[in-house]
Amino acid sequence: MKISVASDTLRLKNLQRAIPGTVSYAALIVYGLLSVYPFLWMISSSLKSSSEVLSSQSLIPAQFRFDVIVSVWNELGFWKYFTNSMIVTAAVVLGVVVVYSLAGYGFARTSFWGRDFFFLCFLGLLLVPGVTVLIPLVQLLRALGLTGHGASQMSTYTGLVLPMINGAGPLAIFLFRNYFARMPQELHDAARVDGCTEWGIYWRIFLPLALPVIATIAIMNFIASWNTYVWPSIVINNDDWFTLPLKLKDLDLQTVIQWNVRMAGSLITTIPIIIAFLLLQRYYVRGVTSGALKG
Amino acid sequence: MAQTSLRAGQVTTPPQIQLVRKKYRRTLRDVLKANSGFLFIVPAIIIFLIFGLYTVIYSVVLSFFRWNGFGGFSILPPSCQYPACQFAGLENYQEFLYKNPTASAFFWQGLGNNLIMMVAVTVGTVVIALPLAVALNRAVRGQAFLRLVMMLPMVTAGIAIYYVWTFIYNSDGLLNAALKLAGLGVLQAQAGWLGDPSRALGALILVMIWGGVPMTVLLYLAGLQTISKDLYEAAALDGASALQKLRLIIWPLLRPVTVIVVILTINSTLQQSYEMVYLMTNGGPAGHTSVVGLQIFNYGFGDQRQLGIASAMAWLLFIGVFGLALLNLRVFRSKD
Amino acid sequence: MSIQMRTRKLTWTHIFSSSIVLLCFILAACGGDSQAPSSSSVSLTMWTWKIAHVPGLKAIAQNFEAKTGIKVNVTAYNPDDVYRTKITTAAQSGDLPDILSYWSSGQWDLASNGLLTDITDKVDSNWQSNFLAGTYTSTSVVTQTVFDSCQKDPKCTYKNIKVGHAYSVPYMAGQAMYVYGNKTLLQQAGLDANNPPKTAEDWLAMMQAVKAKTSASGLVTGAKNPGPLDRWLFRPLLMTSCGVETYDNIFNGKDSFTNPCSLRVLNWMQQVATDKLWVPDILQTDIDPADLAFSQGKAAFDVGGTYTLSFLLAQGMKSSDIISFPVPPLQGSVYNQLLVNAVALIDAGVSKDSQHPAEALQFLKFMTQPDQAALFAKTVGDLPAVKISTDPAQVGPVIPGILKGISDNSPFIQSKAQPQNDPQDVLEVGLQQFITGETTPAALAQKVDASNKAAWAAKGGA
Repeated sequence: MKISVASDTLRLKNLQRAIPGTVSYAALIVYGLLSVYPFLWMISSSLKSSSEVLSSQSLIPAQFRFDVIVSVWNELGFWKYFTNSMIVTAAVVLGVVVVYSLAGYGFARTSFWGRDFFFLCFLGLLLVPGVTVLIPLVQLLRALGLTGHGASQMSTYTGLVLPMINGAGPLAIFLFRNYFARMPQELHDAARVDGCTEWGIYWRIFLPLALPVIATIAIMNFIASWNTYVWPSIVINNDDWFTLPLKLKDLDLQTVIQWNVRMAGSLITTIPIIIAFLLLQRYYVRGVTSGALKG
Repeated sequence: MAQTSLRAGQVTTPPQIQLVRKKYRRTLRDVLKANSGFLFIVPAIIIFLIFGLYTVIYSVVLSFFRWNGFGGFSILPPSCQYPACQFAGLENYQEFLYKNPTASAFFWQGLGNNLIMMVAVTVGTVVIALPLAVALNRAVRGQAFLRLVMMLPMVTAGIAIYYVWTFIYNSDGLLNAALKLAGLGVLQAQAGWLGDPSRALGALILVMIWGGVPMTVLLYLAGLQTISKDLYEAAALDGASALQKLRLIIWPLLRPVTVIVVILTINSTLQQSYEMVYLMTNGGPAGHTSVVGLQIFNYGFGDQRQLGIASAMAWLLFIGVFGLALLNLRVFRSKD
Repeated sequence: MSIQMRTRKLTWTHIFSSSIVLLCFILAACGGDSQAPSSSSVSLTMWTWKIAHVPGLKAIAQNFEAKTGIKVNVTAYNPDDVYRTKITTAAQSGDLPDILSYWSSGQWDLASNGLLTDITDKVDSNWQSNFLAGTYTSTSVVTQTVFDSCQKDPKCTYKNIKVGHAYSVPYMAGQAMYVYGNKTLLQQAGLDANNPPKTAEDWLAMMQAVKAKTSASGLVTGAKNPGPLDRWLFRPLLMTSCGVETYDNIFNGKDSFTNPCSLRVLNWMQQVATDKLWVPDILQTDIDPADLAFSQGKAAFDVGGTYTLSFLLAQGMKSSDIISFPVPPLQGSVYNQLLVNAVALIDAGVSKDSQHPAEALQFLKFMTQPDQAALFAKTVGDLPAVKISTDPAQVGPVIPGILKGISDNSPFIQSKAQPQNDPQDVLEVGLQQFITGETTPAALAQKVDASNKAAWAAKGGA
C-alpha cells in the first residue's frame, strides 16, 4: 500500500511539474501571436496594392504583388543608406558598451568620493525631457563645429552620435552597475590575490562575464539608433548622408498615402535589426557565472 | 589634554597631534589612489558634462523666459532680445498651473490621465513581462525563435502599430468581433474603443503595455541569467510550487531589474507617451486621453511657439518623475 | 575555466577589434565624399514640409533650370514639428535655405527676426494680380488688424513689423467647407441625388432618410482631428447664420457665442450627434480614414478638404457618382448661400542666409506664374494660390471642380476675425463633446465665451 501511495505522489509531483511547463508554453504562444500580428500585417501590406491595404482586413493578400518590394528596394538605394545607418548605429552601440561598462564597473565595484552623487546625476539625466533639449543641443554642435556649413560627413556623424550615446547612458549604467554588483566578491578577491589591477579585473574578468547584459544593451541600442528619426533629421542636412529612416520618407511622395510602399520600406529597414538580434542571441547563454566560479 | 603614558625610551605624542600628523601624511597621491575608481566613470562624466549638463541648464533657464524660438536667446553669453524673447519669471509656470483657465484646465486633466496611465502601464507591464520572461527562460525548445517573436513589437514600424491597433479597436474591428465570439458581446464598444470616452484611455494603456513588454522581458531575461540553477533545485527539493518559486526566489532577486523597469516605465508614460497618443487618439475623444506630453509638444513645436512654457511644463514633470524615481529607489532599497 | 575564459575573451576582443577595423575602412572610404561638388553655376535650395509637393516643385524647378540655368534643390522635412525645429536650429546656425516655405499668416515671427527678407517693393501690382483674391493681401501682407492687435498685446513677439509690408508670397491654397455626397446612397434612400440641399435643415433631413432607409450613416468627417468639426462645419455655418460683422465681433470678444445666431449653429451640430447621424467610430476617424469610409459607402455625406476629391477618385469612386456643394446655411441665415474662398496655406520667402537673394526671388516669381502653378496643380493635385486656367488638360481632372466653387466675394475674405487659441481649444473639445453627450449648446457657448474673454483680456482688451 505504501509503495503505491509513493508512486501516486511521484506521479502527482510529475504532473505538477508538467503543468507549469504547458501553461508557460501556452502563454508564450498566445502572447507570441499578439506580438507578431502587427509585424505580419506589415509584411502582408507590402505584398498588396495600395487600395487593398486600406479596404481588406485579412492578412492574406488577394493578389500577391512582389513588385512593390522590388521597386521600393531599387528606389531606396539600399546599400548607400544602409552603410550610413550602419556607421551611426555601430558607433552608438560601441560607444555605449565601452563607456558605460566602464562606468558601471566603477560605480559597482570601486569606491570614490561622490560616487552616489554622480550616480544620482545619471539617474536625473535619464528623466530629462528630450523635447526641450533639442535646440540647445544643436546650438552646441554648431559651436563645436560639428554641424553647419562646411562640416564633413564624419564630423556631422560625430555630432549625431555623441548625444545619442549620452542619452543611452543612464540605462546602460544602471544595467551594468547592477550586473557587476551582483557578481560574487570572491571573484574580485581571487583576482586581486592573483595580482590583477582594478583595470585588469574589469577587462579580463568582469567584462567577459557580462555578456548577457552586453547583448541586451547592444540589441536595445541597436534598435533605438537604427530606427530613430527625429534627431538625425534635425542634424543631417545633406541628402547623401541620410540614414535609412530618413530616406524612407522620400519613398512615398503622393498626397494619398501609399501604405504598401511605406510598409515595404519599413520591412526592408527592419531586416538588419532582426539579423543583429539573431546574431546576439547566443550571448544569452546561461551558466556563465557558475562556470567561472567552479573553475 | 589627554593623558599620555610614559614608557621607557618611547616618545609619545598626544592623540590629537597624532591625528593631525596622520592627516598630513595622507598626501595627494594617496587621495588620488584611494579614489582611482573615479577614472572608470571619467568618459561617461565628460560626455555628460558636455551634452547633458549644458542642455539641461539651458532648458531650465528657458523655462523662465518667453521665447518663440527665433533669434535672441542664449545662455553663453546670456542674452535675450526683445521682442522675440522676454523675461517671464515664474509666469510660465503660473500660466498652466492656475492662471490661464483654459490652459490650466487642460493641464490638470492631462496630468490626471498621465497618472492613471503611469500606474496602470507600470503594473501591467511588470505583471505580464515577468511571468513571460520566466516562461521564456524555461522553454528550452524554440527559445531563440520565441525570443525573436517576443521582440517583434520593438521593431515593427510605428505607423504599422498605430494602424493595426486602430483597426483592432474599430467598432467593426477585431476586438469587438472577438468579444462577440466569446459570447461577451455586451462588452463591445459601439463607438469604437478609441472613440468611446470611457474606454479610450484603457485601450491606449493596453497598447502601451503591449509596446513595453518586449524590452521588459529582455531585461528580466538578462537578470534571470544571474540566478544560479542551484537555487531552483534547492527549492524544488523543498517541494516549492512554480508560483512559490516566483514569489520567493525570482521576485526578490530580480528586484533591481524591477526598479529599473518601474523607473523607465514611469518615465516613458509621463514624458514619451505623447507620440503614441498623438497618432492614435490625438488626445481625444474630447480630451479624455489628453496627456501633458502632448501639450508640451504642442507648445514647443506646434504653431503656438511658446518654448518657454513647454520648457516649464517639461521641467515640472521632470521634478515629479525624479521624485517618484527616488521614492522607488528608497522603497526597494529598504527591503534589501 | 581558464581555457573557456580565454577562448571567450578572444571571441569578444576579436569582435571588438574587427568592428573597429571595419569602421576605419569605412571611414577611409567615406573620407573622400565629404567634399561638396563645386560648380560654377548658381544653385538654390528650397525647403518645405509637404512631401507630396516635392514632385510638383521639382517639375517647376526643372523648367526654371531650362530657362535660366539655375538649379533648385527641393527638400521636404516631415512631419511639421521636425520642420519647425529645423528652421529654428538652422536660423541660429545660419543654415537656412535660399527659399523657405512656411505656414501662411504664421510667418510674422520669422519676419520680425529678419529671417525672411522684406520683399514689399519687389512684389509689384503686376505680380500681385497673379494671386487669388484673399490670399496675398490677407496673409502675406501685414494688415492693420494684425499690427494693432500685436501692439496691444504685451506678450506679442513680433512688434517690429510694419503695416503693408510683405515678406513672402503664397503658393499653395486650400479650400474646405465643401460637402461631398454619394449619389448611389442618396438614390437608395429615395432622395433626389442631383440637387444639393438648400438649407442645413434640409440636409439634416436627407441624412436622417439615409440612416432610416439604408445601412449607411448620414455624415462623416475627420472628427478625431479637432479642426474639421470647427473649421469645416461650425465656422461656415456661423458665417452664414450671423453675417460677417457679427461673426467678427463674436470671435474678437465684442459679441458672445450665446448670440442666437450662434446658438442655432450649435443646436444643429448637437442634433446631428443626438440623432446619431455620424458614423459609429466618428471620434477615432481622422481626415483620410473619413474620406476612405465615404468612398466605401459607409456614409452618405463627407465634409471634406481640398484634396478630398482626388483621394476619392484615387480610391475608385467615379466623379459621376459624387455630388458636391458648399455647406448649406441654416434657415433664416443672413446669407442664403455660402461663398467659399481659397485660403492661402503655404507662403514662401527668401531667407536671410541666402547667398543668392536675387536669383531666389526670381524663382519665387517664376513659380507663381499661372503656367507654372498650373503644372504644380496638375502634378500634385493641390490648389495653388495663383489664378490658373480651368482647362483639365492643363490642370488635371480634379482642379476644375474645385476652382468652380471658389468665389472672389466670399465673406471670409472681408472677415477680420482673429480666433484665439484657447477659446478655439475649448470649442473644439466641446464640439466633440456633443458626440460623447457630455455637454449642451448653452453650456458650451458659455464656456467658450469665458475663455474668449480671458484670452482677449490677457492680450490687452478686445
